[in-house]
Amino acid sequence: MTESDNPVAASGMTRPSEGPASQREMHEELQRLRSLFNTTLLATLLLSVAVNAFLFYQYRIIRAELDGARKLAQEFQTTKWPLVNKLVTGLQSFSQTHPDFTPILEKYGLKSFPTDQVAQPGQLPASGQSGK
Amino acid sequence: MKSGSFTTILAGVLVVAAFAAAWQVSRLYFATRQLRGLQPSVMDANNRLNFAQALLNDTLEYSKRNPAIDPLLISLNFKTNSAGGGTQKPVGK
Repeated sequence: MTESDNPVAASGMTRPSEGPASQREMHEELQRLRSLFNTTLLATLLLSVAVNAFLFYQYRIIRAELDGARKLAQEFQTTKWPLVNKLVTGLQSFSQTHPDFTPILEKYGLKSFPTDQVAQPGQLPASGQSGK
Repeated sequence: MKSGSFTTILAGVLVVAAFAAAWQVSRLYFATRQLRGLQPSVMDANNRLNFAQALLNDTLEYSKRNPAIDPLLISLNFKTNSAGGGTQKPVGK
């Protein structure tokens, strides 16, 4: 029987006489693959830990900014804005008796109101609308 | 199988780390979205405070020429009642 007639030999497969050696080679190859897989898993795990640390750090920064923004917005609504309204109302009343102050109010787009008119909250125009 | 159990543990830890990363990404996304939603009102507040500060500066400058406005500024605590002249208190601070 020639080699071309033997399909096992022609396809490069091992003959039965080479069984134990081939099994040993396959076992070594399996060990190498297992080792490679473990190394890849370990590398991916390290990368994942680094990504987690980065995300945690970013979250802390965003959280601090968010707390600051919330505090600022709340402080503005409860404390500063009513104070500014009082100031504007007082200045508008003052300009009734002191007309020389009116140009300053007009510079900021604030009109003097008649003495009997009640000042409405939120009458201060936005800075973009001022007469500067 | 010692190697097999090591691989299993490694894969398990990796899955846990992946879930942790997903959770962190989601909370970072929601926090960023909240911050972006809050930023327009913060910018508006800052603009208004700058505007009020400029008005206060001009008013304090005016008070040097006409002290009649001092009672108003003192009542709002923008100027102290000291004899040596007024001191300015920032609106935004």
